[in-house]
Amino acid sequence: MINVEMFYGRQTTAISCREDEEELNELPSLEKRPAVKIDKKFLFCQRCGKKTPLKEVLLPNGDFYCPHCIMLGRMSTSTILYSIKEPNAFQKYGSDVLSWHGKLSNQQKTASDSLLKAASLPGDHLLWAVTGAGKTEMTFATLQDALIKGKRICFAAPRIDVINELFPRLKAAFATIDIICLHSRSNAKYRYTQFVLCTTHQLMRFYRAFDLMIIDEVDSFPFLGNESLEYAAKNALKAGGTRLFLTATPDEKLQRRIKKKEIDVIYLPIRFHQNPLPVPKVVCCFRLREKLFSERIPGAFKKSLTEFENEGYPFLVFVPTIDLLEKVHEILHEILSESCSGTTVHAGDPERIEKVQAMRDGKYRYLVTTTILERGVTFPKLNVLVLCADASEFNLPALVQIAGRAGRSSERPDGHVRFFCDNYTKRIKGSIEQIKRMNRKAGRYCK
Amino acid sequence: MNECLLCGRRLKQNMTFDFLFSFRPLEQSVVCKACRQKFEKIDFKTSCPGCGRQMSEKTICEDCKRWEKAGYELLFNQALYKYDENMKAYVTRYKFMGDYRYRLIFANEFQEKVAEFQKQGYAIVPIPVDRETFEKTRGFNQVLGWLGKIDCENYLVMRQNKGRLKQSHKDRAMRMKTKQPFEYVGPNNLSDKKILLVDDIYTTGRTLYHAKTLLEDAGAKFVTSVTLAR
Repeated sequence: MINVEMFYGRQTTAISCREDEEELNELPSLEKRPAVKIDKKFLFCQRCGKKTPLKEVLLPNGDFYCPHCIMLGRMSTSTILYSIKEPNAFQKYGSDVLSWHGKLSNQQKTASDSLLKAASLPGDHLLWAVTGAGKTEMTFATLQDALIKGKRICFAAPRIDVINELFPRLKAAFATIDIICLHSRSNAKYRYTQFVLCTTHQLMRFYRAFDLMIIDEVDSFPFLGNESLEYAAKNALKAGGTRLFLTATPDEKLQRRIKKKEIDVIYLPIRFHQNPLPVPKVVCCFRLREKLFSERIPGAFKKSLTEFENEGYPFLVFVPTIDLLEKVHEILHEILSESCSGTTVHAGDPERIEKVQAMRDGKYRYLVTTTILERGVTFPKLNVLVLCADASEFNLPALVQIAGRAGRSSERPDGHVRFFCDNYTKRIKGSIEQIKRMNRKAGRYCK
Repeated sequence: MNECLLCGRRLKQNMTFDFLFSFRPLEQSVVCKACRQKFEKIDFKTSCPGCGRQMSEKTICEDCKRWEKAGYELLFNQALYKYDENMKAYVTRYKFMGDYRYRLIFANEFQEKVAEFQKQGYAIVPIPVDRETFEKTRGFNQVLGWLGKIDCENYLVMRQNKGRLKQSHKDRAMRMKTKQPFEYVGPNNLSDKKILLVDDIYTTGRTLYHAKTLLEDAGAKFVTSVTLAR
C-alpha cells in the first residue's frame, strides 16, 4: 500500500520513494511533471532550476541529465517527478501549542508583533536584527499563530550547524508538535509533518508545500548568490505563501531590494540583554602569516592567548584557510597549559558536529576554525580572535558575524574580539564601522 | 567547463609565452591540481604483479597466492590508483549517482594505458553492465565512458538474471562465491588472441577471473587486465 502522505507537497521520483511506477500511476490526484525540460540547446532542471548545455550531459543511452542537483538523486529526461497538492491535513492545535514561556524584551516584543503581522501578508519580508538579538525567539509567536491556523511551516537555514542548533530549541518551544529535522547528515527519514526544519538544500524536494517559510541567515554561504537554492526556496512555497528572511548582515542584493522597497523590513538594532555589541580591537602584526608558519609567534598574539586562558572563558580562533588550522593549533598547544585543550574544525571535517557539541559541553576550551563557525552558533561567554583578518576569505558580513559571536549571553554581555592582521583593510574598517553604527542606533532605539 | 568538477573552484590556466608560441592546442583540464593530487597513484615498481595492489615491495600478495592455489593462472592486473576514500567518493559519484561528466577526470590517463596494450596487439574487452542498468538506471557503461573512442570488442554480455545482487552490495565471502555472470558472444574461435580486460575496480578479482576463464575457453592465448583502482 502506498502512503499517499509522502507525496503531499513533495516532488519525488519512483526510485527515491521505492514505489512501483504502475502502482503510483493509479493514485488519484497525482501530479506528474517531467524532471527536466529541454530548451533549445540547454537542459532546464525543474528541481534545481539550473540550465546546462545539452552536449555536456548526454548519456550513451540517449538521456540528458542534470549534474547540479545529482547529490539528491539524478534527474534525467526519463525521470518523472510525482507530487500531490498540499492538502494541509493536520491535527488542530490551540494556543497552548507554544510551550516556551520566556519573556521577550520590549524591543523584541515590538519586532515579534510586526513579524506576526507580516506573516499574514503574502510575499517576502525581512527581519534585520543584530547578531545575538534573539531572532529565533522572536519568531515563536508567528510560528504559534501559523500552527493554530493549520498552515504548513518550514524553518530553513543554509548550514547544517545552524539547523542542529535550532532543532533542540524549537523542539523545546513546541513540545507537542512533531518537528522533522532534515539535512544530508541527519538520519531522519522523511515523514509528513506540519513543521519542517531543514537546510535550504532540502527545499529542492518540496513542491508548493509551505504556507509560511522562515529562512534564517539568508546572507550566508551556500544560500547567498546560489541560483538553485533561490529557485528551490521559491518552488517550495505555495502560491500566495509568505517568506520571512532573517539576517544580521543583509548582502548588497537584499539591501538594494530594501532601498527599492520591494521587501519590507523589520529592524532591531539591539541585543536582547540590551548591551551594545562588542567592538573588535585591531592588532597589526607585520607578516603575520609567514610568522605563523615559521613558528615565530608574535608577542601580541601570545599575550592575548594567555589573557584568554587566565580569564577562564571559552574562545574561538578563526583562520582564513585550512592549511593554517593545524599550524595554529600546534602553536596554541605550545603556549597554553595542559588544562586548556582544544581542537580544529573545518567544513570538510567528518567529526565537525561532534566537535562543536564537545565544545558546547565544555570538553574543549577553544576551537581553531575556518569561517564555517562564523554564524548561527552560540557559545556563551565567548572570546574571539581572528588571525589574518585581512584575508579575502573574511568578507565584511563575515567579520561582523564573527565579532557577533562574543557577548551573546546575559551573564557575560561583553567579550574580547581581536582582529590580527597585516593590513588594516577596507573590510575590517567597514565591519567595525557597521558595528559601531548599530550600537549608536541601538542607543537611540532605547530612548 | 571553467570549474573544477570536484571542488567547484574556478580553473586557472597559466598562460606563458612559451606555450603561446608552441602553437599546441590548449589542453582543457577538468579538475584542479589540488584535487588531482588527492588520488594516490600506484607505483608499478612496488605493486603485486598478480592484482596490481600497492605493496611495500614487488611480491605476490596473499590474495593472489590463493588464486594460484585454486589453480588459476594469475591475471597480471595493472591498476592505476589506490582504492582509497577519495577514489571511493569518485566512484560513488560517477558510477552510482551517475554523473557521466566525471568520466573525463580519468579518461585521458586510462586511454593512454589501454592504448599501450592495443599497440602490442591486444584486443580490448570491457567488462559489460547489464541491460537494465544501461537503459534505465545508470544510462552508461562506466568503463566505456573512460575508453572514449578506443576500439573495443564486445565479446562478453551479462547473463539475464533477475534479482541478482550487485557485486557492490556483497561482502568478500559472498563475492568469492559469485557464479559465472557473463556469457561469451564473440567469434567461434578466438584463435590465439591476446586479450586485455578492462574494468573499474579490482576488489577480489572474482569478476575478472570469471571473464578470463570464459575467454580462455573460447581459445584466447593470454588474458590480462587493467583497472582504474585496486
